[in-house]
Amino acid sequence: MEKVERYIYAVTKRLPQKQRSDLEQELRSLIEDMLTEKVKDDKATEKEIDQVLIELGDPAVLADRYRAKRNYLIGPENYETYFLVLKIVVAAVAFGITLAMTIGFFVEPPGSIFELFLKYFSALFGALLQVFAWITVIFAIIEHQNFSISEELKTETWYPADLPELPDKNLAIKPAESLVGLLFAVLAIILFNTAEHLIGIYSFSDDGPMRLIPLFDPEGFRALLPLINIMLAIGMVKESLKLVIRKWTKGLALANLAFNLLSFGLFVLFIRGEGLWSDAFFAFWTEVGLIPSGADPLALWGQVLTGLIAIVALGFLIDSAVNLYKSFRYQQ
Amino acid sequence: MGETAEQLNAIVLEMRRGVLILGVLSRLAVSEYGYSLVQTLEQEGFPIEPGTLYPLLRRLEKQGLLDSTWDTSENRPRKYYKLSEQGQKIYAELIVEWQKISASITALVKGERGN
Repeated sequence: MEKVERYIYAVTKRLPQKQRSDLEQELRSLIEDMLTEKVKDDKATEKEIDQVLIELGDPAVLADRYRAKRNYLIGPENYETYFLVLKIVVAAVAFGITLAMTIGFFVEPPGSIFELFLKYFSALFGALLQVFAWITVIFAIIEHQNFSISEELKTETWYPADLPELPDKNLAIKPAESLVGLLFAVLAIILFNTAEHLIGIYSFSDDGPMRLIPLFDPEGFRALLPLINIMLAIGMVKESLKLVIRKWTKGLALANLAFNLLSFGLFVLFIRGEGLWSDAFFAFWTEVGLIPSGADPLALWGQVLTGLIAIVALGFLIDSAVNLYKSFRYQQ
Repeated sequence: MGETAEQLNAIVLEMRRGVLILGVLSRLAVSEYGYSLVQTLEQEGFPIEPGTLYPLLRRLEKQGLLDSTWDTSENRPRKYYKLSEQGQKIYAELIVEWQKISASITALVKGERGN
């Protein structure tokens, strides 16, 4: 009969404490009834016990039937909303932590890149874990209270006019694009704030060791870095907005234009900034003979930058114009 | 055709599920315990698996359609179920609904054959 007890335990352990003892007794007498029916006056053997238990079926399934409704931590009703909220909040927190660490970096520069990365990722990991836990707990409570968010938000009676408009394929924003954009912005912020001295020309010559010619002058770069950070932050805000709104509205397209103008202005201010480029960088070009002796390297470099600015301007222009056009052309 | 049998089986199961409660309530004007009910229903040609019936009895009790009592006078204590007052009311209504459904479906099925 040990198997019967094990079966009863396997069913009741899945059920709320308060109905366990009553159900245990009932199940025991029911199983005994079934056994008695099978063997009449004989003693039940393992084989008959097995038959009866098989007839009752998987204890997990039986326990499910004893519960009127299925138990979910977060049920299908609220899962979509849960996931959406989680995504947005996680993105926002990641952004916030990155921004905070960036600011912290200026206020109190860490000893090494390693230390900075360690600090950054432990802060990020800790914060994301917290966010995940809290959102999940909140949704679990909502689930437990048996209350559906989407239903609660609905008006009392439903009218066909409440139906959402069909998403216009021309206006849809692919979330993947924005996510990639966000990711690159985060990476760029980390790169510019922690490893700026590693940006440069890596020169390999046959005889000597590898040389690194830094692109930026440390002093000049530090003075101009806030411009880049603001620009990247604007980019992240822009991508987050796109991620949430998910389609090109007129407002979003106009905001996109404003963000692009601002970003472009910051970009120009940055690369035209005084003392940004390192002397070693110009010396290198002269050394390898790309700049004829006697020519002014700064003036030549200035022309290169003008070309670069033109390309970036074109990129921003196309992005702004296409999305503005779309939003006005296809909007009903 | 295994597929036909499977499909049929699933639909019949669904159909029976709909009238399960009516079948159970019909036998509970007098007190019965789980296994005796399994046997009665089987004898009446409406077999229900014990694994389905036992949880159903408790759910109906929770909904207030059944009252339960433990009989400990015999050497095996048993939980007996019986229609509650509310259960009797619901049962009477259900019979009316069932007759309506039965009549319409019978007419529908006959009509199909007449075509």
